[in-house]
Amino acid sequence: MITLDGLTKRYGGKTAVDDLTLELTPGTVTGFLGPNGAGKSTAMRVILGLDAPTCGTALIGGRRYADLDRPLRTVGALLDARAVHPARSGRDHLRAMALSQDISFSRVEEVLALTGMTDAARRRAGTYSLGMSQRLGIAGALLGDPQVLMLDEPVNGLDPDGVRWIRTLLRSLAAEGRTVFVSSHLMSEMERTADRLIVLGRGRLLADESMERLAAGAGVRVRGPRLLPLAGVLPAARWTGPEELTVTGHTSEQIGRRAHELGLVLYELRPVESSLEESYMRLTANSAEYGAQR
Amino acid sequence: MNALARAVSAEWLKLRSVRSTWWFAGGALLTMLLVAVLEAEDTAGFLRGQGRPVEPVSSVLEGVEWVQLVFGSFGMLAVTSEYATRGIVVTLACTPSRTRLLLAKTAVVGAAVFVAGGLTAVLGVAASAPLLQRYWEFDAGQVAGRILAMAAYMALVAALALGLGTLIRRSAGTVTVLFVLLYVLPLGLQGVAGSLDVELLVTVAGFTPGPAGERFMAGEPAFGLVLTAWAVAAVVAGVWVMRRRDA
Repeated sequence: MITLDGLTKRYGGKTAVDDLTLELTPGTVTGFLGPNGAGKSTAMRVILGLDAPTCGTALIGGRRYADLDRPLRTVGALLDARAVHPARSGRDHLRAMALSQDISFSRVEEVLALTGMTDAARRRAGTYSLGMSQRLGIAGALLGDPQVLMLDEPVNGLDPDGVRWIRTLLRSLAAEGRTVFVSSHLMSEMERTADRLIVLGRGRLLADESMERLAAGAGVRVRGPRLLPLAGVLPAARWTGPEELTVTGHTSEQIGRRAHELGLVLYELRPVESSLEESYMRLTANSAEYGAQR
Repeated sequence: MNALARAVSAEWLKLRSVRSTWWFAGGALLTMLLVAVLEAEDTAGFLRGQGRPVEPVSSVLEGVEWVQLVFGSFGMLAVTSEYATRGIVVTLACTPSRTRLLLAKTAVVGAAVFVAGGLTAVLGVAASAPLLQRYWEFDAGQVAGRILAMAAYMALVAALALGLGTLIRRSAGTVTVLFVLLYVLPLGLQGVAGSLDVELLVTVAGFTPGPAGERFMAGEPAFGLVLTAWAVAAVVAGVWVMRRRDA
């Protein structure tokens, strides 16, 4: 289990992670979502003890990462798939990691097979494609058979087969009771993988919701010729078109009843469905670091 | 296995699993043979007229002056290549203790350079033999002692470079500082001492790694401590900085 308590990280004057408090629980895939520069990677770096927090704590099962004796047996992480010496073979890369943790070389062969890297294991890592580097990185994360897995943008560079493979892998790891923490800037990816979503923007926690709740938060779309009175009585309504309102916080039934009371004609009344992407955009609209200004 | 032994075995595998390590060993050997033979020929020509005896390691001592930069770069790369490739992220995830990591790296690099440097020196003596044999008095014990001192010197220079590499993190900067420390600093100090007539600076120059190493290899064991102090200071400074710095 990972516990962040008031975690803050500043680099110079720039706050990368701002007072982040959360707890990651076993048996779930937690998606860590946010635009580039939102602080996802920084939070992961602090959890791994690579960067020291400015204040607050990041604990794994109650202990700091640096205090773990053979850390890879507790936490497996993939932060940067390209962070491998290009002249070393994939197999030697993993073997060096294994030696540092008292893990047998036969386990190295296991994770190579599991990630489909056995045939490429003899080649120098510098010759790998991004997708192969990702697989090698995931092999490294799985090496210690850890209870906690932390992967930063693991689907980057993977082909559709690879993406599907990662999704299945993460689901099965969570089903085995492990804590899976996976970051992405793509909502569509998280939609299919995560049970719980943590949305970060400019280092701050914007949302910490179960998948269903976040999906429901998108609202109900109402279309009709004269909606002004309805907008008047529903403060959570937004105009999303000349004859269209999007209402949050009310069910379709409630809105339909209201419209009837006001004697309004409706052309359309439906919950917005594939709306996670939209909810995400809404949540992060003000926090995209390099958002388009126009 | 305890944590340090695990880190050492991992670092040793990392070192021997990249081709550049073997290029460095080959480069060091080639440099040594070239310099030693040239130097031996030079000495032999000089001695032909004089007929004085010569030390068997004399030509190899000249070789060390050059080879130390090769082994220094090798020691430095144990750290700077990790920063250049970002592999340091994985390394620190495996071995979070910065102290333990740098101890392991220093031990592995030091041992490797001690062995490779010693071997290089032995081969240097062997290569000089056809030219110098006639002029030298070969005392096996003494020669062995000298070769061990040279091996230790090169290992300590590699450790010094490893510490500097940790402080600076970039290869180009580290090589520059190493070069200044080994070659430029003593000459500069002596130059200033000469023009200002300050005897103290000459003494100080004698305690910089290069000149201290020369005296150590010439058979003054006490200067081995001076060198060790330099190497320890660099590695300790590296640990100190690394513990306080984000990876």
